[in-house]
Amino acid sequence: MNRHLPDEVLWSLHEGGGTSAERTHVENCVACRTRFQRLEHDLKVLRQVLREAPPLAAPQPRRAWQIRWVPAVAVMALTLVLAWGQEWLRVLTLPVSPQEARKNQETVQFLTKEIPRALFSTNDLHPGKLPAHATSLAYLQAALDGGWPSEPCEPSDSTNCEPDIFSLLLEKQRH
Amino acid sequence: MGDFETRANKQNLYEELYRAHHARIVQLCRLWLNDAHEAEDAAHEVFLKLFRATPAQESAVAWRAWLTRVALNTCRDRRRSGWWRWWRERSVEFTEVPLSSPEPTPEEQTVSREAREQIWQLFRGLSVRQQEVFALRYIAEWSVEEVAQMLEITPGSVKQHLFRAVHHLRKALGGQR
Repeated sequence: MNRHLPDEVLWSLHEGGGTSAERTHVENCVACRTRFQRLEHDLKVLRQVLREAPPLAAPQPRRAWQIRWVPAVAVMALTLVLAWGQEWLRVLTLPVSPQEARKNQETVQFLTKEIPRALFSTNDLHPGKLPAHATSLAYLQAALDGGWPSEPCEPSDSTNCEPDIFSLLLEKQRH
Repeated sequence: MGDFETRANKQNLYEELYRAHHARIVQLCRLWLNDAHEAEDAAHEVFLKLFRATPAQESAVAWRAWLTRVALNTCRDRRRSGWWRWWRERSVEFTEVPLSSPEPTPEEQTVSREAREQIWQLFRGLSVRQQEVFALRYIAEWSVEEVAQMLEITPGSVKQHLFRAVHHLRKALGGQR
């Protein structure tokens, strides 16, 4: 074999591969043997270095594209904000047609007059006669009965009024 | 009593595996993550998974493969996560170069500091697959067939990745010849 072996074959021989002819060539060729020995040495060094803890990375300058994209994004964002602001101002300053103005006025009128009227209307209320202030005795009795206090009805009142239980009791005793 | 014995056996097995494999797992994680602290965390995660795993396999060889596979997947997950990339890129900018010690260690005597840094730099430049193959073959000392089985690729592909990785890394040592 006249030609020297390529690196791949030398590495293959190191890994236990290769043919017997290639192995013989390495044994006989001084140049290839030296290269093979270098390969073995290099692999030993690589193993040794990579088995240790990695050195801390040195401060690296920012890459060119990293520097460039920041102002590019800023300019784009500013352009978008300006475009949006311009559009907003344009919509604000647009002249309103008479029909649209009348429609808006009707809407405002409806919102300010009709809705509060509907919400706070008191037409459904039927205020009756509120009962007079109940005495403490009535409250006590009501608490015992599990109901609401009530005062004796006025003679002129309707039947809706609840009768006084004490008077009823007294009447029973009299009879 | 049986339960107690099982727990004690599990504890003993865990300790034995930890002693036998922890350093190797840290080494591999360091290569796959390029960061010593991150590697310690990843190794811790691997052994936490080991502790939680039911010891169904008994042989040491099976656990060796199991641990390596878990370490590989853990490092892959960490590399994939977005925050890790962001943190790595940020941290690189603020780390400082350590001051060299006045008396070089025996390793430093044989390999210059610049060469060591260049080797690591070139290793970081390898593809993920090349890093995995190189670490398993030359750091974990696995055979080409075992590496192929672990990474689910052919032995021919392993050899190709290995040769490219070695060829690339040897550039760092070119000045020493």
